[in-house]
Amino acid sequence: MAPQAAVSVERQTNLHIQTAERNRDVALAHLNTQAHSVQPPAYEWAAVIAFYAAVHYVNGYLWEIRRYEPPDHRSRNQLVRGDPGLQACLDEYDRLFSASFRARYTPGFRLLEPAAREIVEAHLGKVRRVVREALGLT
Amino acid sequence: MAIPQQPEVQPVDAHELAAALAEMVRHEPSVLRMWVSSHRGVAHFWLLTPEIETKDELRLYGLSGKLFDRFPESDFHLHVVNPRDYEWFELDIVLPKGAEEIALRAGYSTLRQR
Repeated sequence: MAPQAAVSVERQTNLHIQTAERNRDVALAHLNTQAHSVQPPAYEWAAVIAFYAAVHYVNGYLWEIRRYEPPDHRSRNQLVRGDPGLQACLDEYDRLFSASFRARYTPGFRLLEPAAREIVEAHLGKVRRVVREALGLT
Repeated sequence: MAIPQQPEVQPVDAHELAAALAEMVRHEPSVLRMWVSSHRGVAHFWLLTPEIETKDELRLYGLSGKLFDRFPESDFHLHVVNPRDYEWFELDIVLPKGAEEIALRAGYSTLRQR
């Protein structure tokens, strides 16, 4: 479910946050349908969706704080690692990136449901919390 | 912090990064072996562990922040290779082709191509 429109942030910030929330919802929905989907269940793809939710949370933060939208992962990575406001969720962001990368490129990478839920609920949740609190979105 | 520019080449040599990371993980009992590979010009580090819990994985991902502190112009990614996350666990499959092993401890005295 999309958040209430944030009146205190820039429109583009809010669009990124809304997209992040939508992607998070998609990741959660994906987790909840895998038991009845392909076998073995493709829980690792929840990490891919979750990572792109994290990308939008970070983009929303960067737009609001810096009026800057990273054109690629490299630029975004540098800011996630270097911005004091984002460092609190750096480890979780890195794990999201890695799981997303391996889900796409590494044969046999298969997250079990508990690990996938942890990535979506705990790690993406941490990125979400850090960004929303920094932007004053409660 | 300045907005990052877009250099055409990796400003820090991957092996220099690898050596620094190897020094950081040398005394990490949960890191068994380490490799470096390149994907679209970006260094990727692969840390092989036994089956470990998430809190220990996250602690290892924390090394990327420490490495960035030393090399703020660099771009790289860290991957904790935890066997629990693979349907079939064979190093030839889970590591990218051409990944180079980085010596961590006595017994791995040279770079070894996988």
